[in-house]
Amino acid sequence: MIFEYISLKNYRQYKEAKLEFALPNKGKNFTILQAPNGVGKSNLFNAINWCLYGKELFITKEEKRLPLVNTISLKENRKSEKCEVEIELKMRDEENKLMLITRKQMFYIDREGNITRDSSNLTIVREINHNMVNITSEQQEFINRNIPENIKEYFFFDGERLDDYFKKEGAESIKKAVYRISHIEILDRVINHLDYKHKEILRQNKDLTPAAESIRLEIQAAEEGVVAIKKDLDEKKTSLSEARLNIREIQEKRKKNPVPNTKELKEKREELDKSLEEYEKKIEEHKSEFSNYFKEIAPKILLHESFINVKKIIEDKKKKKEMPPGITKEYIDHLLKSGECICGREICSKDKSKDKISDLLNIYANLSDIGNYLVEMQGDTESILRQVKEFEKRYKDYEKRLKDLQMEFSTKSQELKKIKDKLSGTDESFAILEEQQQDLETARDDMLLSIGKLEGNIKSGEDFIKIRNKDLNDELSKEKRFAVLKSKLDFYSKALEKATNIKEAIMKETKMEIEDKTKKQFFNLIWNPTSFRDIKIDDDYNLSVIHKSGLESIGSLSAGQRQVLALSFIAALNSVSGFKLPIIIDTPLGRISKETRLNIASKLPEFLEDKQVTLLVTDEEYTDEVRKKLGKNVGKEYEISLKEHDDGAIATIKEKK
Amino acid sequence: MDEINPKILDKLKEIKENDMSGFLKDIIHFEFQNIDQDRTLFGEEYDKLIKKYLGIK
Amino acid sequence: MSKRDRIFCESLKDYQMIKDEPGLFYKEENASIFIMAMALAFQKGLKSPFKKAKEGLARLTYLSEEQISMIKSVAIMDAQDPQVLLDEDKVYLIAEEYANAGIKLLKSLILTPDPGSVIKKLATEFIELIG
Repeated sequence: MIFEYISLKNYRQYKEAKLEFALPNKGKNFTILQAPNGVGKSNLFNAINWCLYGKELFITKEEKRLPLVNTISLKENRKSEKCEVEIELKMRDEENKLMLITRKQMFYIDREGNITRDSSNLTIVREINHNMVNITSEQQEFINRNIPENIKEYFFFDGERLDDYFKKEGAESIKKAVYRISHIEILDRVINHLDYKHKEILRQNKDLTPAAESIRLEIQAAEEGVVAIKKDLDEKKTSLSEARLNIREIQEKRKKNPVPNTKELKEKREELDKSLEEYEKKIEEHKSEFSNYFKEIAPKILLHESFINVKKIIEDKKKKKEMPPGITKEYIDHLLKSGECICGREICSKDKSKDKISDLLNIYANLSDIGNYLVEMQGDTESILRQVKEFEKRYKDYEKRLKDLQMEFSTKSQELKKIKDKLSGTDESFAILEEQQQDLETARDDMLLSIGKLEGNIKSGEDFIKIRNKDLNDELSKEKRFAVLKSKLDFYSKALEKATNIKEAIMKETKMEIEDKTKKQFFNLIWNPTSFRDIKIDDDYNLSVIHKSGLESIGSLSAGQRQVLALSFIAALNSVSGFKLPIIIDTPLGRISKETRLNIASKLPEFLEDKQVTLLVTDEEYTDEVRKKLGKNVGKEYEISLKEHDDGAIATIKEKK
Repeated sequence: MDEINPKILDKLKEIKENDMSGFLKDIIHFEFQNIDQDRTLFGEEYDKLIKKYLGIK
Repeated sequence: MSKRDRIFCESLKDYQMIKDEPGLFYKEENASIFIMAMALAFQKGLKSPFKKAKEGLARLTYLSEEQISMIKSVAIMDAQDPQVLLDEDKVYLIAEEYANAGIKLLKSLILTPDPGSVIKKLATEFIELIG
């Protein structure tokens, strides 16, 4: 099945738009639709869904409040009071036969602005033997046969939610989809109905011999018993897989937070405690040392002007030669006592020379004393002025060292806190996780035992039923009147057996095929294939990635790896489906890093070759480099832009040439 | 796809007894046609088919 | 008159309060506190003559050489004449009057809640003072 075009009229933001898809021949099988977020790329998919099934699958809450019809068109048509939504989808099937599906719905708006609508109607035109034939009855059934309704699973993929494939609900819906698409569903019905008919024949026959009847009743009771046990078994299996999942989760958690070596941590803690004490001491000492210095230097700084003054006075006096005094007091005393002057003349009290010298003595005495005092102060003055000069540097050094010490202290404090947290926190939580895991493992083991028992019971039940059926058969063979009955029963039994075998074979083959294809694609496309050993899909379609170490590693794949896995899985589903449906992927490269994005972009065409692929991309994803990588596979490229108006919005699809 | 999964049809071909494979094929087709019905009148159809293939009146 | 043998203050209580307060001058010598008070007041140009009876604060022999030099330098600046050094008593009186004013300043400085910041505050002022 390929899409040729979709045309939209008045559908939500698409007032009038037509999109022609790239046709997958000559390798140009990609159609690119580029638009920023919020423009309504997803609504294109909704449009397809609505056209085919009258339903929209991906509608946001805001959009739900709006009517299907484009609000601007509706307002424009106020005069006529009605407006029609129309979506037309042109497709070609595998035999290249045309199919044109059109869905229309009329909307009405009254004066007050109330909107009502008719039910939608469908037109299907199909090419049969070169004629275009209208399909008018069982239209929906026709569509369902060609494009089954839960197409979501195998042809439309939301790149932002690819992870859903790895969850239980995702796996379940995949299983359902696979069953549906490979018609296992049909086989199930066949089996149920055959079984029913088989039992019904016996039940309805009122003519059985008492012996036959009693065997039949036994078989009925046994069958009912087996059904009940099977139900129980299913429940236990679900619980088991849940327990297994939970165990895996805990194992992952534990792997991420390995047990700290408590002894080591405790030792480190003690070491840090001691170190912190030392640092505290150092800081105190440092502060106290400076404090003492400060007390000494503070008054000196406050008085340094007066010392500068003293220094100046001393210098002046030295200049004037008043300091040190030229003649000492002692010398003058000595002169007076000796009665002889320096020049040799006699000093006598008769003339004024003795008085003069006595006066001089007094003056000099004073000068001398002042001089002496100043001389005494000279040493201190120089020293104090020097000390004052040093202060700034000493202060700055003090501050720096203090800061360094405090930072060291703070760093070690933080380290200590971390260790304390580790010791207290994880001790507990680790123990809890360990306990939880043990409990789950015990529960799991119990369940395995029960399951084993139940399976055993089922087997013995079924064996019993087989034997009794044989006995019944023999019993019926005894009488000719049961010949027809017996032949019917045999026939139904055989048919049942064959149908069951076919079902099991197909289930196994389909699953294996999907598993193989997924594996092949994954290992072909992943950039580090040697890290992984295998891909497995269990009976419930849960995906499993086995690391080369043998461990389940689906939980530890990077975003890019998950994307590749999901895309491989999708490609596998799509090809196994046998439907050859086009693939639409919304935001395939959304959540990935730049490099991974380029990797995937370059490989996409390879694993989706021969398929008609439509990619809905945002501007961020569709970088020039990505564009180049996809380049030669792109058949059509469009840009969607949205214009907001008061009454609503209009989206336009424009082809990029 | 207007057809049954070809894998199923292949498996039916493997059945040697013609009436069995014919019977199953018809039943499968019937179920396929009625896949969307919740309740089918399969009873009647099955009766009809079994009579056909067993050659009973 | 008897030679002076000690320095005096107006209120020993003030000195005691400062000595009792955990901080920069906790349990410090009277002489050191006296010198600091004198220097603080001198830098601000505040002098306060004695109003009350004097109380003996510390013996002169407890003063270090540097401290004596500081006292003398204050006296010289105050009297604007080194001659003042000849009158020992006057020199000490001048110092005492400055310290008398300064002790109140010192009290308010010390009795702040954050002793650590006293140094920081003064240090920044000092750096500016030194220039």
